[in-house]
Amino acid sequence: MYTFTNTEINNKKASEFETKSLLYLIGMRRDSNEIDIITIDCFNDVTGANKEFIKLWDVQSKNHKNLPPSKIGESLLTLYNNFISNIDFSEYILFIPKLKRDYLVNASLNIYGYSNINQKQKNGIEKKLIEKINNTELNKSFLLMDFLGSVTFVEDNKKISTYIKKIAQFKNKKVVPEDLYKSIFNDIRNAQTALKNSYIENETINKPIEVLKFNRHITKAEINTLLVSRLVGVDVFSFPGIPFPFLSVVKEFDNETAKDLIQDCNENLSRAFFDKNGCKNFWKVSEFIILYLKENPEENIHNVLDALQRALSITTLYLTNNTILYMISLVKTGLDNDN
Amino acid sequence: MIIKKIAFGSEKESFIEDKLTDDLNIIFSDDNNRGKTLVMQGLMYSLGYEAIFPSSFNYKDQYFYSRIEIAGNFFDFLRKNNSLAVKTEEAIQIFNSITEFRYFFDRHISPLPRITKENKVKMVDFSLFYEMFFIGQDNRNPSGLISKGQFNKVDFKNMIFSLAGLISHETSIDDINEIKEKINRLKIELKTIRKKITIIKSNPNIAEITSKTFDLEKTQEKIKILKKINENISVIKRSRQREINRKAKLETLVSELNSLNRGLNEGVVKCGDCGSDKIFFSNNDLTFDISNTEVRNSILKSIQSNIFQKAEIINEYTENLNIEQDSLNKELESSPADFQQIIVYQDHILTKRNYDDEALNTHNRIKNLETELNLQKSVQDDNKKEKKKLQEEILAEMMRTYKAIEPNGTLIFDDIFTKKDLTFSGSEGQEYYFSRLIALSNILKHEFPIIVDSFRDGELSTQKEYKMINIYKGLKKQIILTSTLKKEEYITRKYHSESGINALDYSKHNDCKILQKKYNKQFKGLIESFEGIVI
Repeated sequence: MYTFTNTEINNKKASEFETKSLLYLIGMRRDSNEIDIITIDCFNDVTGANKEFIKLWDVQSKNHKNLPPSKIGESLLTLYNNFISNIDFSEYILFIPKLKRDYLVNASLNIYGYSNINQKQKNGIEKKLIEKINNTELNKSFLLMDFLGSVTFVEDNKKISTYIKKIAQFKNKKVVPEDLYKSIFNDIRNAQTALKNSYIENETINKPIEVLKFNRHITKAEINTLLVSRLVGVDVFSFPGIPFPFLSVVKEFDNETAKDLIQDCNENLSRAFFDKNGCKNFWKVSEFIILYLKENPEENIHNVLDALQRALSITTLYLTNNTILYMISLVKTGLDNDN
Repeated sequence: MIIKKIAFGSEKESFIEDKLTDDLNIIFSDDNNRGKTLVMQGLMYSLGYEAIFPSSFNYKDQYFYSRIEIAGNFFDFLRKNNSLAVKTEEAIQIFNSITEFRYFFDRHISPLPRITKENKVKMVDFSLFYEMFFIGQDNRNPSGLISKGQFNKVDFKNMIFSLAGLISHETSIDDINEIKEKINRLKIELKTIRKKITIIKSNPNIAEITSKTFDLEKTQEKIKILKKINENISVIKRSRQREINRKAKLETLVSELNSLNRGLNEGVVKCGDCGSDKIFFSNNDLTFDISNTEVRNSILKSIQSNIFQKAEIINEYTENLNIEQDSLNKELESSPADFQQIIVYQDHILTKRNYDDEALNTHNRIKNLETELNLQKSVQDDNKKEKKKLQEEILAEMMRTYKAIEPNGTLIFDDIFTKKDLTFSGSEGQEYYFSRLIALSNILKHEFPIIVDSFRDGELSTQKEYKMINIYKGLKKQIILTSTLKKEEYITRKYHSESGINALDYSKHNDCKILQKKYNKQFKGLIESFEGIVI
């Protein structure tokens, strides 16, 4: 008998935690709507940026069961390095599991600044951080205090599926199975892990936006398309009835013909969701529809189709006009216009 | 479930009731024929119940609308004849048959119980289901069901067991007898069919002699009836054919989808270093796959459930077809063998009805019933005790309720239905239904309102009436009752003086004329909210 003992047990947990911090950035902050792009493992584990790369949100995530002050101090090192670098980050976030409640001044908070940590733990944190930076002159210095004062501590206190639900913004009256949310989470996690496989050590950039050339980023639009297309996928053959926007198409037919039409649309959509060869084109189509409807929630489905056809050439055979109109109707019905 | 709004009528005249509250509602009037029953039956009809309307009311030309709330969701129903549309906040669905609607109701509104009948698991129909909480004014019959559809009172009991989570296998003596009877009937039928086969084959001209004596007028009438039945048959056949096509398409789709997504089951590319199967193209402009296994499985599951549903609907069409064919047969039998008719319809008769098939079919049905009979006789049901216990609980609750309104009453409920030979005097029938409705609501804790048309039927005394009203109030759910008041009761504004009652006075409606022009604009709005879908 042989027991595997020295495998990388922490890999899965760590990457899961990085995905959570990514989702926290794009969906759970008050300024989440400003974040458009997430870079993976470049400046830090996860760094959010707006479209122009003028504003950056830097996140270090640390998933340790026990986070004593020394461990916290150590975890702050990359954030500190970024703080003193040539690039301006607007937020420094340490994404961590729940700390021991007696570390905190106000234990009811899950998101807090350095001032919410008790003096005793502060001492431990600073001691370790200074040791790591290897510069004892920093002790109690203005620079160090300035840095610590700008760090936001975010505790992870939610289930995996909650993170997905929060950013989904997709009305789905039916109960979406928990497993689906988990699988979407895994899709994002896998993509995130895969992006790390390239090699960028010692590469140099002058401006933050140049990071895009390394192809280590995910856009919010991609995540949105991922979520909405997964949820629409589940609607195929199970959406109860005719989505309202689609009535304009169905109206011209008698009931039996309308039923055949809807079945045809569902059949074609299911093909699109299954077809590995046509998947790139269908992804582009979905992405366009979702972005367009987010910007023009009131737009008539026929106009959306026109705009789509002007913007993209649809090469997937079974994506007939009616099928696309049906897809647009499902997305339109699902998108929560309030948000 | 809460009834929010009831409406019915046509473009010409209509009626809308939107003053119902979530508690106790009593619709009353100082005389009969003020439309209370039409409103009650109209409500139930819009929800898929069968048409039990006064004969003078031409329900086939009217629209029936209702709005209900269930678990926080709103549903609007619009029915005309056998077409029904359901509207939710985001979608609309149209059904050409109530059967089809049943599946939607079961899936998206409230699950319908399944029972075992004729060796098959069947979903109950609305007429059986609604009898749990709705008692109409007409066709009351404490020893059986109000509606005479494909289900009987044993099915009603099985439905209750099923609602309580006890799956039904148990059979009463009644049930066994019923099966035996059915077998006998079918055997006779089989004999008749076989006889017909011989007649048709041996001497198709047999009726020629009698034809001259047949009265022309009668022939014309007969032709009309037969034509109508034939039309029905071809309509059903067409609908069935379309469903068969749809089902076949779905079945092919499943295999097509599996081949489109071959990559899933066959070899996958893996990274030699780490073993990951997430290999990305280097041009990498697509980060995610368009779907994942969860989504694909969910689609396949939905397709399977669609196929299953279609199979059920096709079966139901076939059953309906058989009913029509039976009536065609009856019409043909009841007339003197008129040569002209036989010639005119011979093609129809011979093509639409294949006696050989039918004989085989009947034979098979007999076989099935015989198996069921044996099964029923031999199976010692594990659930038997639990069912007995549940039935006893329901009966005890019925007795408790009955004693609460009639402390010295002599009725004894030893079954959910009463014995056939028992005759009720005065308001006893009313008291029985009351006790049953309350007991079922309390024991099953179902989410439906209680609806009783003419709840004082049989001259219920004022004292008992108040006791009933108090019990109804105590249920803390929506109750809708109707009653016709005597003159003196009406003058003293009986229900208005009582707290906790939403009293709706229908006395102002003209005799037999609840439908009025003044609601037309609003009614049109209701129909138009279905986005101009014509049903």
